[in-house]
Amino acid sequence: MTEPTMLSKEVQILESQTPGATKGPRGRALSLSPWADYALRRAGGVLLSVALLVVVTFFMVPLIPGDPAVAVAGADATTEQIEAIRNSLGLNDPLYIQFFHYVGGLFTGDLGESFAYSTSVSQIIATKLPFTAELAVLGIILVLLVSVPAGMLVGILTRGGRKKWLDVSFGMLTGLFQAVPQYVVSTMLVVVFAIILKVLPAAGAASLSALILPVIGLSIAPICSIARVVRRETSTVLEQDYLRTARGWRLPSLRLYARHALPNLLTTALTLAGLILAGMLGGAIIVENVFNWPGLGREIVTAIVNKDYPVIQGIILVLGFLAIVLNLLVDIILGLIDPRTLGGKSNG
Amino acid sequence: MQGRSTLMAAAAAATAAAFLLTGCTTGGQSSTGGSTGGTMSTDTIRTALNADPTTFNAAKANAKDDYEVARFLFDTVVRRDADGKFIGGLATDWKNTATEATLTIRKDAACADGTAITPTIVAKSLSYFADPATKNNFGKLVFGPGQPTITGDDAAGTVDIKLAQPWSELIGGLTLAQTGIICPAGLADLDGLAKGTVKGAFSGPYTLTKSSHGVSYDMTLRDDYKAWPTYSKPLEGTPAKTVRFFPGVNKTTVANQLLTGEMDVSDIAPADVQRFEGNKDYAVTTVPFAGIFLLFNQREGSPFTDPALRKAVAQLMNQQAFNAAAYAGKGITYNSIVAPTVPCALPDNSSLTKEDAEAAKAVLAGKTFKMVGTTSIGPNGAGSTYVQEALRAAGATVDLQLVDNGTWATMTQTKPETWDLTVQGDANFVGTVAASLTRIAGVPTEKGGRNIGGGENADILADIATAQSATDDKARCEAYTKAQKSILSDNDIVPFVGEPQIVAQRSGFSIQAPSGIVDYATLRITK
Repeated sequence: MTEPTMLSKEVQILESQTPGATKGPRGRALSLSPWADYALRRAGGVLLSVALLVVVTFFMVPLIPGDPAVAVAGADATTEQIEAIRNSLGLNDPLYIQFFHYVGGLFTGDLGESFAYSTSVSQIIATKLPFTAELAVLGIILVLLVSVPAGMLVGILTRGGRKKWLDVSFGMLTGLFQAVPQYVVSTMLVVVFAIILKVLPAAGAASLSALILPVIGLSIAPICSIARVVRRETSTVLEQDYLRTARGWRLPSLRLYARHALPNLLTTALTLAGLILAGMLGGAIIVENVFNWPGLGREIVTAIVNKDYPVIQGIILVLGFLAIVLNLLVDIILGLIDPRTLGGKSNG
Repeated sequence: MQGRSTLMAAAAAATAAAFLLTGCTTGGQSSTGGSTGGTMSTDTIRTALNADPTTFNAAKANAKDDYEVARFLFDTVVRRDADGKFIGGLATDWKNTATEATLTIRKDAACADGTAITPTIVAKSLSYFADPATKNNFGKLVFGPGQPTITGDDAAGTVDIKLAQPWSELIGGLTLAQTGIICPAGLADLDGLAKGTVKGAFSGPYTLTKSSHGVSYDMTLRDDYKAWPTYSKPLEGTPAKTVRFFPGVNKTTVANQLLTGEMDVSDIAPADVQRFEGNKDYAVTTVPFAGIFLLFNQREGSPFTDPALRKAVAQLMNQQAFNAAAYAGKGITYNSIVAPTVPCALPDNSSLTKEDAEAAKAVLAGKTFKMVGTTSIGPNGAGSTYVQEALRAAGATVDLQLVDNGTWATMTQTKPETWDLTVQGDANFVGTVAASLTRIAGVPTEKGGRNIGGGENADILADIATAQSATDDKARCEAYTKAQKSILSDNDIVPFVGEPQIVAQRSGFSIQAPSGIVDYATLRITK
């Protein structure tokens, strides 16, 4: 019969100590509409970021050494042919004219035509972005599914200096896998699971099973990074008064950790995950190469070698824009979990 | 609670997005293969391309992958047999002199849209290829200097080619995939032709049925195709109903895929050859893809206008050491400026400058040179690094810039002041001595030629003219021999080795390389 009373108290205590559970950020009244204020601030930030991205992308790419016209013309092209190609690509126009054309195209959704291939940049990105996005999204899901429970579990088991050996082993193992280059991990995965055991494809994107090794290769280092952070956060959270009180009330473990500890760990984990996801989208080059995965990473490397300015600019622009959107989404989710963050600085 | 539901919603959305994406990508392709990819298909060949084809217009093809796909889609008038001799393609017969040729066109050939391939169609396609407006890099190698006149006579069933200047290697040039006959539908829609979307453009055994940039390309065998060449020894096996190309595959990754049965035929890297050697389930064909040599900038202001310096550098270079550094010892030894398989190549290495490190040191010590190299010759440009280290050991200082192919081309073709020596690759697709001679001692790039070294040599050009006017092979080879010996004695270049093109074929698949040139249209399923 005492259970309902205890639970009510527990909820009152925990809610009063769970940051931001009922009050607005830093005690401000909700009537000030922190979300409207937040939306206004972030909209300005996003616009500025996108504008900077467009300008920097456009003016940075021509700094790449080499003449696109020579690369397009191929071996044995005459100077006349090279000059004709340079004209047809618009490379003889002043840079500011090229920039106006570029920005004008962006407003109509036109990212231009590839210098090297007989196809539009939009089409190239539309074909290849899903492959990279698929790897990155599955990768980040795997990262969160593995790293958060693993980090929490170790944090719980080693609370207050218990099981020192586990703490040390966990630190060493995660440190090791975090430090091993992605290329090495991916190659080892291929050797073991494709070449020796022959249970998974070595490369390509011909079947769903071909996803397994690249996703694992992409995720191992981030799993270790986030698990270490979650483990440290767990230790800190478990030492806080409201959780000591909760333990004193002898709440079931699942309820204690999943309901009262987890939300307070997620701020850091999600912030990191957002950054890692943006990094995975733009930085899957190595994994894409090892696994012959037809994503944007491989495309941009080829485009740089070919001096294919429109493709380089288009890919950087799209990936940069996605990074901005992802950071915004993470901030919104964090704001929903912990409204105090609405008043703080953004993640990107 | 709000946080938890938001989190759940976000997680659900992310998972749904991931599964939707798998539908757009991996889910959209059927598996055909190997031990890990399903049941082996018996009518499909899976192969890799270095990169996406830049165009499907055969006449504008200027990269290896362009030629490779063109070979499947477009028929040439002449082909090469296994022993390198010419056999009929779209032409059943031909007669030629140094200045003209008459080709008899077969009557049973048709375009993919059913249009009969007439002499007029052949003549129009070859004229388009030869037209300077097409901006083709190979026209001069096929037809020689000047503009040819090409006419078709449908009544007689012949095509006449009249050359502007003697060029006795016309027939060999017409075996190039770039001369593939483009049907009228393709010439009427050049944009569609470049994209590969005009089915009626194709004259070859395959049509492009799926094109996904950076992902894969499918070519499907035409049911109505009859114009197969008649080889002296019929090819074993049957042509694949579908050939699937995967572009941009790392060569070590491709080796993995061959070993796991996910790829059937593909080029592999020299360092991976040992993974296939002694394995009865694989055959490996090695041919010289490009001649690799050290080229000197001989323009005014470069130290290598001095023949003594060129000789000293040549005395330092060791073919085997270069081969080991750049190609794991798998390169093909060169005796001259062209591969040993090219007609009229020098038969031995007696014309190469002999090694003499001591003599070289006496000349080179204290000298400083600017070198540019491409990272594509040897792993991370190991070929150029070898040269740099050999010169450093002789007391010279070499400021080496290792750059990608595009930057290398820009520097060597348009900025001659930035380099004194370079390691160059010479892809000789025509398989003639003249093709390499014009690159080494012909018209410099600044005057519209192919010679990036700038050392224009009138005597060599005269030798080429003599060879091209020759009416018999002996006279032609005499002129070419003289030119090759002249280049080697002047040390205009230092030949290293032939970059190996190593094609691994899984058991049950084969490909031919007549005259040391891989002919992709000879891909067959043999089981």
